Amino acid sequence: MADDRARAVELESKAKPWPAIPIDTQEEVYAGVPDSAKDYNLYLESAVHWKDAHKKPEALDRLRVLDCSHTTMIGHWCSSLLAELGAEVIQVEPPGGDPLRKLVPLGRKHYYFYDKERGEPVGPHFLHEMRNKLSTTLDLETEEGREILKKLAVHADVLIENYPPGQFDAWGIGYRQLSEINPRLIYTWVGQRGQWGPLKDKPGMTEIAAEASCGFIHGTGIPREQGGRPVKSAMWMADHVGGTRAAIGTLAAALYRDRVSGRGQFVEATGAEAVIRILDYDWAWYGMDGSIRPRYGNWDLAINIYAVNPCKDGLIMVGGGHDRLWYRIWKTVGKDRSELEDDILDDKKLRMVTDRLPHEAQVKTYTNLTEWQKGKSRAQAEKALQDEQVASGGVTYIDEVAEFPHYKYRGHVREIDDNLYGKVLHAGSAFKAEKTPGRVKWLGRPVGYDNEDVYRRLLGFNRDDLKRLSSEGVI
Amino acid sequence: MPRARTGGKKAATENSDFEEWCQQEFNPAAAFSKPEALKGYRVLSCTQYILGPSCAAYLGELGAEVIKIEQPRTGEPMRHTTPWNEPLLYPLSRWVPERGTGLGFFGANYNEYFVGLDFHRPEAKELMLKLAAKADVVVENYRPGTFDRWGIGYRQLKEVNPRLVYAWLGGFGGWGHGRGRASYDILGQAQGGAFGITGWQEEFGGFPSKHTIWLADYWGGMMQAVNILAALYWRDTVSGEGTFLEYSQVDGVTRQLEWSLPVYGRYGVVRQRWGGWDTELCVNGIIGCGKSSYPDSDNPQEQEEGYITITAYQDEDFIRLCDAIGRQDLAKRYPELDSRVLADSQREIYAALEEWAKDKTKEEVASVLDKNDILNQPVWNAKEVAEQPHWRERGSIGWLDDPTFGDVLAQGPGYKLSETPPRVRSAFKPVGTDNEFIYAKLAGLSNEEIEQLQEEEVI
Amino acid sequence: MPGEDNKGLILHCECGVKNYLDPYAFFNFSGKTRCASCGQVYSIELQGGFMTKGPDKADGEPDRLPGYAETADFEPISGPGKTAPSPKPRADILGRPKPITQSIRGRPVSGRPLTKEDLVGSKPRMIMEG
Repeated sequence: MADDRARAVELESKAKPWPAIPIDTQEEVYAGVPDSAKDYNLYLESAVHWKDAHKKPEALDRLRVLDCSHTTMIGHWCSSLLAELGAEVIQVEPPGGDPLRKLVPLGRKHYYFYDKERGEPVGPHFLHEMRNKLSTTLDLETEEGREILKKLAVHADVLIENYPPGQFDAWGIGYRQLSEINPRLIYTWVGQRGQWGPLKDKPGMTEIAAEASCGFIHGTGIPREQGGRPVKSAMWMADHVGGTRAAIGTLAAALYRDRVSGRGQFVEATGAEAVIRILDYDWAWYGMDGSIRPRYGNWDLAINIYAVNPCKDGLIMVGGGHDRLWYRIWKTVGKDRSELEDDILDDKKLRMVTDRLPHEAQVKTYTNLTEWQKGKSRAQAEKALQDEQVASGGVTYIDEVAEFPHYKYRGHVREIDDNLYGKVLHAGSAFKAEKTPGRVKWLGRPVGYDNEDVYRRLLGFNRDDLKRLSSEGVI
Repeated sequence: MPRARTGGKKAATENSDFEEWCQQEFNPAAAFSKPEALKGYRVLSCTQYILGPSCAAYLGELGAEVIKIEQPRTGEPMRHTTPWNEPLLYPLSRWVPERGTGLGFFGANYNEYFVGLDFHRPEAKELMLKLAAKADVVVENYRPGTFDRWGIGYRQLKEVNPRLVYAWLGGFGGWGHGRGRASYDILGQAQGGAFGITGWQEEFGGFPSKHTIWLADYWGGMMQAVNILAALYWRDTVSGEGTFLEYSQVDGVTRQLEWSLPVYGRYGVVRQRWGGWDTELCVNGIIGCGKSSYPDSDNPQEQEEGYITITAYQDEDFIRLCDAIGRQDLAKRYPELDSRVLADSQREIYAALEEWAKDKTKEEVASVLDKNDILNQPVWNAKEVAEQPHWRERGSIGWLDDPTFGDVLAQGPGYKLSETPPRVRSAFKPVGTDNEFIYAKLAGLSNEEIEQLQEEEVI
Repeated sequence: MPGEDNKGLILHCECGVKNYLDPYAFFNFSGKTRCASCGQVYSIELQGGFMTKGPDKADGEPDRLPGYAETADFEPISGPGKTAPSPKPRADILGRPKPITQSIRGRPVSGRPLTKEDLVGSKPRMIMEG
C-alpha cells in the first residue's frame, strides 16, 4: 500500500492542474453579443447558476433515506440523486465497508483516493457516488444488527436495499415487517431483473446481466456484417438507468404519501426493466412483423443523416434528419468536394427523406460524407458544418470533456475542495433549478465515519454502546 | 474483493411465501384497481423528438394528465421516423389517414391527450396561457428563449400561474458557450463523454460506439422527471411555489462517467474503452460463443453466433469457472481479483474463455456454467427478450390493446409501486385527436370555435 | 476512372462503377476487394480513409466486399456476392412502408394506409369495430 501511495503521489505531481485553461468569465462568454440577444440567456444564468445553489433551499431536505445497498451501483445511484436534491442519505454498509470501495480500474491501486483523517483508500468510482451521504456500518447478518436497523427504520422515510430477493424478509427486516413498525416507510428494492418471477435475481448478479437480458447488448456495437460484435456500455449503465427509475418511483411514492395517503409503499426497480422501457421501438416492431432489431453501429435505422463516422482525429457526429439540413450538409461538402455533393444531389433515389433510410442509401450517404471529412479534424469539420447551422460535434475523450469550456463554465465538470478528500474533479449535479437546485456538498466519507453522529442522534447510543458494538463487529 | 455479505449463496426465499406475496403485491393485472400516484396533476408537453416527450410520458404513466401539444396535421418530427422505413401505425391524423406514424414515436408518448397548436400563429399565445393557467407542469424543449420570445416562456407563464413547474430540456442548456447549439441524442452521447469510452478496443477492430438506444434522450427525460417530482414535492409540502428547471443532455451524460473525472483530475489519466469487459471486475464481461443457436433460421439476427456474459469475479467463483473450462492454471496464476483485473490478465482470461466456447452455442455455454453455479446471461436479441415469460409476468413487455391502433407489443413502465402502480393505457394517438375535449375543457372553446381553428390549422 | 483522384473511399472501377467502401469497414483496411459489377479484384490499402496503396488489379478472392455500388447514372448494384450483406431485422426486408394488418399473434393492428371512410373520428373503424 505504501508503494501504491507513493506512486499516486508521483502521478499526481505530474498531472496537469485542472483547469489547464482558465474558466471563461461571463464577459468572455458573451463578448460582442448585443444586450437584446443575450437577455434571456443572462436571465437563465442568474436563475439557475450552480454557484448560487447554496443560497437556496433543498427540495428533499425533509426526507431521510437509509441506503442499505452494496456491491452494485443501482441503489447508490438512486440515493445519489436523492442526496443531490437534499435528502439526508445514510449509507448503511457492512462492517469493513461496501466491497465497491476497494474497486479501482484495471487493478491500479495507485488510483485510490485517501482521506485526510485516516488515510484510508477508497476507489474513485465509489467516491464519485457517495456525494452528500453519511457513512455508517451495520452487520445485518447479526441479530443485533437487524434490531438496530429496525430502530433506524422508525426514523426513516425511505429505505433502499439490493439484497437477494427475500433476504431482508427472511431476516425480519423486509417491507412486510418494517411497514408494521413504520407505516410511512417507502421501501425501495433495486436489482437487475427482479425479486420475483422465473428470472429473479441470483445472489452476486451484476449490472451486466441486466444489459444482456434486456436486449441492449445485442443491439449495441458494430454489426457482424461489418466485422463487429456486440458490446456493453462502458459504464454500469443499467444501474444508472434503473437507479434513476427507482428515484422516480420513490419520489412518486413520497408525493403520494404526503399529499394523499399518509402511508408508504413497496417500490421495486430493476436495471433490465428500466432499459427495456427505453429500448425505443424494439418490442413494437417485433410485435408487428417479427423483426429483430439488428445492431447498426454508429448509424441509425430510423434517421439519415444521423450518425457518427470517422474523420482525421477521431469520430464526428453529424445530424440532419430532415430536408433543410440535408441540403445544408451537402452544400458544406460541396464547398470542398463538389463531385461528392453532385453524387448525392443528382441521385433521384435520395430525393425523399424516407428514401434515404434503406441500408444501401445509408452506405452511400456516409461513404460520401466520410470521404469529405476524412482529411478534417473534428474541430474543422464541426466548424464547417456549423457555418451552415448543422448540428455536429466530435466524439470527445475524457480530457476534452474535462476541459470543455461550456462544461467548465456551467459546472457540469467541476472541482470540489472536499474537507476529507481534497480537490476532486467530478460531475456536478445535473439538476439545475431556479428554486431548489441539486448540489454537491461533500464527496464521500471513510467507512463508518458517521457512526457516532447517526447512532447517537437517532438512537441515543452512548459511548459505551458504540464501543461494545464496534468491538463485537456489529457496526 | 471480499465476498458480498449476502447471507450466503442460497436464496433465502426457498421456504417462504415471499415470492408469491410479491407476485400479488405487484401483480400488473391489478394495476387498474389501485390509485395513481400523480392523480390530479396536469402536465403540458410542448415537446418533440424523445428527450422532452419521454420526460412527460413518465409522469403520464404515474397518473398525471399529460397533454401533448403538436404542430397541427403533421405532428412532431419523430412521428416521421421508423426503422428501415417499414412499420407505421395509421392514421397520422383524421386529416391525413393515408399516412402513418413511425415507430420512432412509440414509447415516448404513453397515456397522453393529443392536441394541435401552431405556436407560430398569433392565436396560439392566448390558448397556451389558458392551458398553462390550469397546469402544474410544463415540459418544453424548443431552443432556449424561443418560448420566451413568443410570450409563453417561464417568465410570462409564472405570471398567470405562480405554482407552475416549468421544465426545459435540451442539448447544452440555455446559457454558456453552447447556448445556441442544437443537440440530438448521439450528439449528447458523443460530447458528454460516454461515446468515447464505449466500444471494443482497437485490437478487436472496434470503434467508439454509441449506446444503441436513444439513451441520452430517454434516460435524460428520466433525470428531468426526477427533478420535476422533487420540485412538486417541495411545492406541495413546503412552499406552494413553482420553479424553473433546466436539464442539459450533455450534462446528464457527463454525470454518468463514474471514475473517469476523478481519475483524470487527480492523476491525469484519460479513460479508454474496454469493450465488452469490465474495468473494475474480472470476470464480468461478454464472450463470443462460436455457434449460432438457430442455424436453420432464415433471420440473420438468429444466424449470428451467440454471445454470453459471465460473472465470476469472486475468487471461489473464478476457481470453479477455471475448472469448468479445464484451465486450472489460470486459477492458480490469478487467485485474486487484484491480479485478474489487470489489463493483460483480462486479455488472457477472456481469450481462454472464448477458445473454450468456440464450438458451443450460448445455451450450451450457459448450461455448463449453470451446472457449476457460475453466474451467466446469454446475450438475448429482441425476440428472445420479448418472448421471456419473466418479462411478460412482470408486465415489463406485454400486449397492449391500444384504443387507436389495436394489438401492439409494448414495454411497460419498467418499475413497480405496490400501492400506486404506474401503468400504460395507450401508446399514443393521432395528431389532434383530443382537440375537442381539451379545448372545450380547459380553454372554454365552443364547438364552432374549435372547428374553425381546426379548419385554419391553428389547432 | 482510376487514377490520382481514385484514392479514397469511393473506388471507381475501370468498368465505370462507383464502389462505396463504407467507412467502418474500410477506413483502415489492407487487403482485397472486388468491383460489385465487373468482378475485378483490387488490392488496396487505406489509412484514415486515404488510399496509401493501390488500387492495383489482383487475382484471387476478396477479403471484403464494398458496402454498396452504383453505375455512373445511379443504377444500384447490390446483393449477395456483389456487396457486403446489410444488417437485417428479417430475411425479407423491403425498405419501404410495409402494410401490416395483423400482429404476429394474429390480431388486428392498424398498420396500413387508411382513407377518411376507414375512420371514426381519429380512430380506424377496423379497430373500433373489432
